[in-house]
Amino acid sequence: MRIFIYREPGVELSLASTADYLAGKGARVELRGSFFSRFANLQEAAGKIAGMRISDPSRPAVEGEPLYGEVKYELRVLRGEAKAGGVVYDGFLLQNYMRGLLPRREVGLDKLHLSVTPRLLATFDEDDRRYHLRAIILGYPAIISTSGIVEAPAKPREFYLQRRLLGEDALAEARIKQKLREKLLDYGDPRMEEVLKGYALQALFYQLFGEAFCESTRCRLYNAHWQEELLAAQFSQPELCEKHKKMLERWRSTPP
Amino acid sequence: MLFQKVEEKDVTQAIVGEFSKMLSEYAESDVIIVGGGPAGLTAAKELASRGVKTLIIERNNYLGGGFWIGGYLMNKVTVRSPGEKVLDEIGVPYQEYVRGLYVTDGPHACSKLIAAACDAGARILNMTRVDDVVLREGNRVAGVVINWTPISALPREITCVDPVSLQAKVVIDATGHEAEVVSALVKRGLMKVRGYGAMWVERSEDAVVEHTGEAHPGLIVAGMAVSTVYGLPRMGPTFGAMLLSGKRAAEVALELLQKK
Repeated sequence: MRIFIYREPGVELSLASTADYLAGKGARVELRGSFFSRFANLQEAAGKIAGMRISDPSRPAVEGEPLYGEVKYELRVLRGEAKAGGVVYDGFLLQNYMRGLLPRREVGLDKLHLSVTPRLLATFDEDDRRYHLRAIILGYPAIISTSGIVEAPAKPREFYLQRRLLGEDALAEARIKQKLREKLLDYGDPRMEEVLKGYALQALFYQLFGEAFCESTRCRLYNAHWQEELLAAQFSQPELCEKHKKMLERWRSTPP
Repeated sequence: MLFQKVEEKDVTQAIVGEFSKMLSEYAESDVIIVGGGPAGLTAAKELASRGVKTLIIERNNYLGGGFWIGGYLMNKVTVRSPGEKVLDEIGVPYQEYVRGLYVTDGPHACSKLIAAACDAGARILNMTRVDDVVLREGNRVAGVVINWTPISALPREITCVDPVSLQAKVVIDATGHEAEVVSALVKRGLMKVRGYGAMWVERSEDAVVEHTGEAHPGLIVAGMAVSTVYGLPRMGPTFGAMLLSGKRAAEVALELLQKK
């Protein structure tokens, strides 16, 4: 298995330790720069990505005509001249677009393309008819959102209760976050890359076995909906449950 | 008698003469900034201090917009880092409340920012509203059509006072959520806006600054007008994004002026 990790502009982590971690699992890993700089015309990509913004969380986005300024902003983000933030994009539209950009020679079941982006992504759920923020979009290519890791899993219950009590202004929120810092992940958190490795492992399992998640809260593949659960799953030892440990061992011992 | 004796006509001539001279001189500016709130004032300070001929148009008689007070009519305003650097530049004291969040006095910060824009050489037309935009080839914005605020407030049927036009190489819309200059383009069918968004409030300040830029040829949006145009989340009473959006708007304006 070859894994290509793409680091999009604005991702503050080096991803070198993520690459080493996946290599330790038996894959050949190559750390690449931006996916779009490698495979797309940036001006065209800016126009496409600008059309993937979600404006209404209760209606599925359709690729629309972007505004003049939106395209200019996306171009600056792609060039690393602006930070991605405050905007939510349709994760499946982005994934479909990226899949179409991959050249034929780069596509195969023995190749995993894993893009790490600072953009916040969401996918529309037909059951409850609304968008849900995502830390990872599994599939081809797999996309991990660093802002999604912070925003998608719910923060500890106390965070929301205290915010109701103390108010939602910046002063109150900063104080609550400081108080609960052990239980929640925030931007720039030193634990971020360790957590990201768990999501990268989910992408690898999905590619190898079509199964990314585990029901055990002590397994690194646990699909956490709360940040406390996420931190517990990513920092517990041993890192994988017996079932997933064996799956990985079997794959490693199978000749290519 | 304490004061020098002057006649009434001298006072009138001083007001009319000086105002007319300024208006005539600024009938053509490098940059017109519509809206004299924190974003517009910061942009004005940055541009005027670099020798750019800058005119602020403000619909009220006072400048500063919402920068005089913070949330809930309390006059402490907050900025998140790195917004405090603008406070340093204009010489306003502040204190760190928690790491990266600073609190200062609204009246002190607002008056200093106004003074900084004026000291830098920006000129101001207050009690003036923008009625429309001046367009050139390719529907590029090349100025604004203005009238006195009281005229705009009266029904057209009883006022019938025609507006006048001012030209500029670049126009900045810093009119807050109303995005008045943008609205003039929307009315003409030349631009669309997304309206307010409600998602990802955590990063709304970053988003406003990063989206500050040319939204239509010749027109830069700054401050909360950016939220209106791009459907970005509304934010609470914290002003760092307004100050930094003003700075960013000035940078973009300088880039556009260099291209012309």
